[in-house]
Amino acid sequence: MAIMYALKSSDNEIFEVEQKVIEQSETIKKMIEDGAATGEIPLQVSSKTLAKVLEWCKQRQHKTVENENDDNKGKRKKERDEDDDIKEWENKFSDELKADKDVLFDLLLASNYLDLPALLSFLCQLVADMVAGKMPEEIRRMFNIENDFTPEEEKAITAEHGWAFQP
Amino acid sequence: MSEGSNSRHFAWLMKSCFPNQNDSKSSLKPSPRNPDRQSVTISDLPDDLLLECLTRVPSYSLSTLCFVCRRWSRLLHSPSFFNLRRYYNRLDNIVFAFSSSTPGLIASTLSFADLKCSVFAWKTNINIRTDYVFFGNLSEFLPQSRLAVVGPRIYVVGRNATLRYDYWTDSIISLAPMLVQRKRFACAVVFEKIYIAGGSSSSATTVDEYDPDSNRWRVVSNAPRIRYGCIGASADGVFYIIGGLKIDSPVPGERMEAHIYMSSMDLYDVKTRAWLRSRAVPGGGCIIAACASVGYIYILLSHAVELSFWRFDARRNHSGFGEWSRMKTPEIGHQLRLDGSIKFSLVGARDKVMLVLMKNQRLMRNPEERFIWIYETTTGDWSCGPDLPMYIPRASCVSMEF
Repeated sequence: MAIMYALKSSDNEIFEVEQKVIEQSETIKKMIEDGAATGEIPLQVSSKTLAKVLEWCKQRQHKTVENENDDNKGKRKKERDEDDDIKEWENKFSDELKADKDVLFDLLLASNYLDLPALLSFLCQLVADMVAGKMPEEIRRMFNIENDFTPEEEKAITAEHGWAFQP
Repeated sequence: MSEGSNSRHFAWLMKSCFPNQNDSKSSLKPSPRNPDRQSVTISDLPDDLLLECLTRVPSYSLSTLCFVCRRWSRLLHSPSFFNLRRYYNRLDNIVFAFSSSTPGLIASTLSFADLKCSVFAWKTNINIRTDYVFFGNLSEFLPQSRLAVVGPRIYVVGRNATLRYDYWTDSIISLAPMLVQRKRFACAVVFEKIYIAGGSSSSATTVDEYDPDSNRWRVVSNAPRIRYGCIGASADGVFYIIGGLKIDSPVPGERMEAHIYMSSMDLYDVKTRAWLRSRAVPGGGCIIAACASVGYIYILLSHAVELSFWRFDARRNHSGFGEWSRMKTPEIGHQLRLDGSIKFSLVGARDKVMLVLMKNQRLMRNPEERFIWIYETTTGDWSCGPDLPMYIPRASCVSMEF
């Protein structure tokens, strides 16, 4: 029987999670080890974001369990198939986050706060891929960033970089 | 970097793991965000998390990102950004070859990322007007200047002016000139600051430091001796002042004169502000070029009719520190007479060392002669590199990582 923990989101929603899944968070793992995780574990993460965190953790957990159960025979092929599955899953996960940027950055903060290095790295790479090859104005629009260069500075930049401020 | 940029590893994070049991409403410390705001945007990320994202952007896209907003520009120019890219092994290396043109500077770049591709060639992509920042004769100024790289910025440190070219924003500005005018001095960057020593001036007895953040020069030490025509290099926190001619006055108070070639180098430890033991370069030749590359100093010596190439172990916490090794010499001897008409320079570009040969009369050259040689420090082999474009006749070369 797996040990379950109850996580409470900032908007008071309770998530029942297996210890193995949530222990990927170094922050929570430490709490459990120190015996501080009694009853509900209150987290300053919204339910929407926490659901995403757990989605990620469950996927990762799934992957490690399967690898442990593998014998060497046919492992290569299985790994290849698994890699394809994971890629597909990750692509879907990324696409959802790209569509909902609020969740993306909230999740990024949460992954830092819960100390989930793999998720943090995955999300940072996702943001990097989103800005690569884009014009400044596109990036500002995409992420709601205010252009705080003075008009003079912008004019100087535009003069030298006709491309820089094209929409 | 602004304070508070590192949100991780903070004590509050650890403390926050132990909520007050008596307070049912207590929760872990809120993540750094504005609670009144409903939506979370990229602007809510602390500097260290935004840096983690920006670090993962491919190098070709970085210059564009500087124009997004002030904060991004500041982060992309910060030492933290470059340290993080180095940590993730994401640094690309390019070599710049600057030359003067009308009405400013022209530069070609060679990217080592292209080494395995058929396009491994110099690209002339920089053409900067300097007439609004520099009023002297650039074709005289540039060859007497030294180039220093801090982040994406190249400093042209000259006798009476310091220019800074930002490769990402493609802009040039004029900064504080050095304290005393020097020609043919040593220059190197240690811990994001520029150090100079030696040179022609009789008052150039000091080591001076330039801080790019404050745009100020200051004297940090007195040099054990003045070297004219010396070469600067930096490795493991040490500023190396290599070779050059010994300068002193035969009669006290009289004019300074250059005497003999010095086959030695002075080592200045920047952190402790102390001089380490000076080192003699073996081989008894005349030092004609030097550079640093991953923990070693490489030195090219001329012995009138032949060259020799040496490596000095500059890794201070390593048992081999201070050891000299004679390395393979590039096979250029039979093509070129070492008669002083050729200028040699070495440029360290990560695990490669580039040897650039420049002839006074380039246009009369023999097409068989090769002017760019590349040394792989990992294998110890030399190979020919792509020749500089004809319109870069006398280049000042420097390498940059980003």
